[in-house]
Amino acid sequence: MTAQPLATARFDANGHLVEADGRLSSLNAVAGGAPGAPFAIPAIAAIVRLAHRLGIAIARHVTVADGDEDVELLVRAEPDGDGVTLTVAGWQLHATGDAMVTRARRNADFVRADADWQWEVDAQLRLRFVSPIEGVDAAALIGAPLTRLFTLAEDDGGGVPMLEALAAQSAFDAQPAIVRATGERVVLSGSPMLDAGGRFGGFLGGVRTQDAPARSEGSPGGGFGDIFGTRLDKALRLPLGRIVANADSIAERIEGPLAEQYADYASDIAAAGRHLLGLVDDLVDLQAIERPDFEARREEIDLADVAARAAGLLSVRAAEAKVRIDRSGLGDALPASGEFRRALQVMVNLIGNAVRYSPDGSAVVLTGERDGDVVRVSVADSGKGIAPDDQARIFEKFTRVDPSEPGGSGLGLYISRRLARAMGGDISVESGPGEGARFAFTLPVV
Amino acid sequence: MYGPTSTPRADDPVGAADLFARAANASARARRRRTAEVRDLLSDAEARLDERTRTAAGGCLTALVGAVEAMIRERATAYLVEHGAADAARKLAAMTIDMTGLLAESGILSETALIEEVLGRVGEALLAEHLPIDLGGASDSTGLVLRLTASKDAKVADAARAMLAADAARRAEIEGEPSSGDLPAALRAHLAWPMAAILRGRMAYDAVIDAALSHAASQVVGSIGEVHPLEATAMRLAKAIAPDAHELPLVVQEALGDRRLSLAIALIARALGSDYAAVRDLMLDPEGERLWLAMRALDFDRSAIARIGYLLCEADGRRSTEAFADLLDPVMQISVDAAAEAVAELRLPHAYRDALHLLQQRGVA
Repeated sequence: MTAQPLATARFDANGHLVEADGRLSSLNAVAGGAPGAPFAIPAIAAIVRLAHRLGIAIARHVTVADGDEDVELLVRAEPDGDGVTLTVAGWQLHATGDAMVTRARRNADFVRADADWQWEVDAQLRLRFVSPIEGVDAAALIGAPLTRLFTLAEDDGGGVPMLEALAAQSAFDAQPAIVRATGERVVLSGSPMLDAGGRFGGFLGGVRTQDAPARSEGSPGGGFGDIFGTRLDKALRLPLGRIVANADSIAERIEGPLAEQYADYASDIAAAGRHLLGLVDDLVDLQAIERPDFEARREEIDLADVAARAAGLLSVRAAEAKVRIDRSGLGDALPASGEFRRALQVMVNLIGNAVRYSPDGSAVVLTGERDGDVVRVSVADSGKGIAPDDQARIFEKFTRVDPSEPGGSGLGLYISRRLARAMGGDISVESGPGEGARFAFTLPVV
Repeated sequence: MYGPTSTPRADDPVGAADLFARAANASARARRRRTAEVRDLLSDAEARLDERTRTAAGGCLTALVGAVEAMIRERATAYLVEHGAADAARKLAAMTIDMTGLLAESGILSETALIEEVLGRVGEALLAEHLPIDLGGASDSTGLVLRLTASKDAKVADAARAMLAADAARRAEIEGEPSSGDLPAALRAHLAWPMAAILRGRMAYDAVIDAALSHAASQVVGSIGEVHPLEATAMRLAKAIAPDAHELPLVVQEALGDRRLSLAIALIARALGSDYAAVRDLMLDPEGERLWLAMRALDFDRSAIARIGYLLCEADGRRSTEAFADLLDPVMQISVDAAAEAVAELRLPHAYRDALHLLQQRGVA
């Protein structure tokens, strides 16, 4: 890291500025402040006041506007008898919104999300944490140098990314290495951990295994193959989960009172986040069922019971949509061969769609029957129906009959049919415009 | 909760008795759900768990249940094999049940001590994760606990190594890796016996199964020394370091700067003559007054209390640094003896303290 210019200022016991050198003085002046008054940037004035009140040194990083650009400042305030001395380093420009400490924290999230397992070292590269993994005695490694866990190798360009990152105290990726205990080839990534003063406190690191089954090449997953399941899935879930959780907290006004409209925005953000999480679930399913070796288990299940459970799961959503789910036509048990969890997923999808497209006050009708060597559960709604031309299309990937309808990834029916077929059954549809739709899910009898 | 017993089969139509039994179960479940809903509705926002804690606590509870269940099954299966019941062993090993769901439904998971332990662990881990990295004077200095592993005093070095290992294991557990089931014995007992009974209910009756499951459960309950909970290793290290009253505030600050919250808790607990869980409660309480009083009772100076309070405020968004600063001078004006008297309760045995609170709540004591 290049040497950072330091700027200093002094404040009296009341937190009023006594003197400031060039850069701090102009920052204060631009913000409308002057000697004899508190610092004009509230975040910095707060640090000064806190250091004085607590009687201890306080270090924090602060992002402030400096002219047209944001700068990240590493601020340290120290009580000095009858006042407070302020030292400010940093002045890193980040018009792109990239600040050193903030960036390090964000990088850490990516490292976490992207890794098969994790490690953490202190500034001397001694291990503070190692995930429990097979063949490695994690407990014995804590406190040992990182090089006892990994042998670092050069990358294609002949460099050692981690050592370069160490010199620059920045993040690194694509560091080839070998796990010494197992001989496994892995790729390391890491993000620097910086304290509030911007000082390097170690790396938070992730490990991606190399010997995992072949990824994108030749995989039929429409381009993302296994990578989605193992990488993007985690990479998306973690930040989305946080967005939803934080938006919920804001909407619930957990941190304090908030204007109604902002709480509503937060609810919208949470709803959109949940929608995206649902999409991630669908894509993970898609990735799984498109693998050539995908198989559903064949066990004895009761399709009528599965349908009734699915209806139960959706009863709250149905009540909210003012739709009734009529299960009286399900009748007796319908013993079939299939995988309980997958069959439930199919039924939830079919009934969920029916609820979504049903008008207020109408009913979704479930009927069950045995027909030769198959059992069938039909889900009928009285929505606007599906034109004959569209009936084949709705089972295709990313297809939605009415793109103006909110919600849905256009994957549900595609996944459901694939699942039904993997269990030896199928899904079919009968409908006409204005007549509602009737989806039939069949499975072989035991 | 989709257990095989609740699925009606074609050759076994649902009888009236069965239906009544199910209706009774459903009614009990509905009542419990309603109670939970009412509690949720009436609880004020401050008492509500945030999503991160809720998710982590749910995961932690499931992981602990899974670990204890695995221990029981493993031991019971071995016992069955040893006693020539290979079929039963296979059946027990292959059985899939939703143990967490069944325990929750039967009320076993509603034990306050168990939930307090889980929330304590998760709260501590999340607070530790958010503690600011504080490199103190020199950025090239090694963290406190790592330094202690090189101590000439073998007791200190061993205890520090054990704590590092337990700390890493706990962090992995909170991040969703399998748990080692490192619960205190009383809570292991609370879980192990009902689990054995649930497993027993899923097997055809045979005396050898009772023998295997009771053998397994009593072994799991008594398996002290196999797992080393973080709490116990931290207490051991605190005892081995044995800082005097003058050193204590510095070591506590250094432990927090090293983000080893568990050691800071153990050091204060040891100095107060209290237990780990009680001091963890003080550390996690966003209002904090009891912790400031406890530190005052230990004669911490103003700057030590200020620094510790500041770090905790930075780590926990619910705390207000300004409110803490307001309290600092009033706390320092209290005499050490008066502060000690105010927190004297912390020295009482845990169970006794709980009993006193319970009786007070019910207006008896």
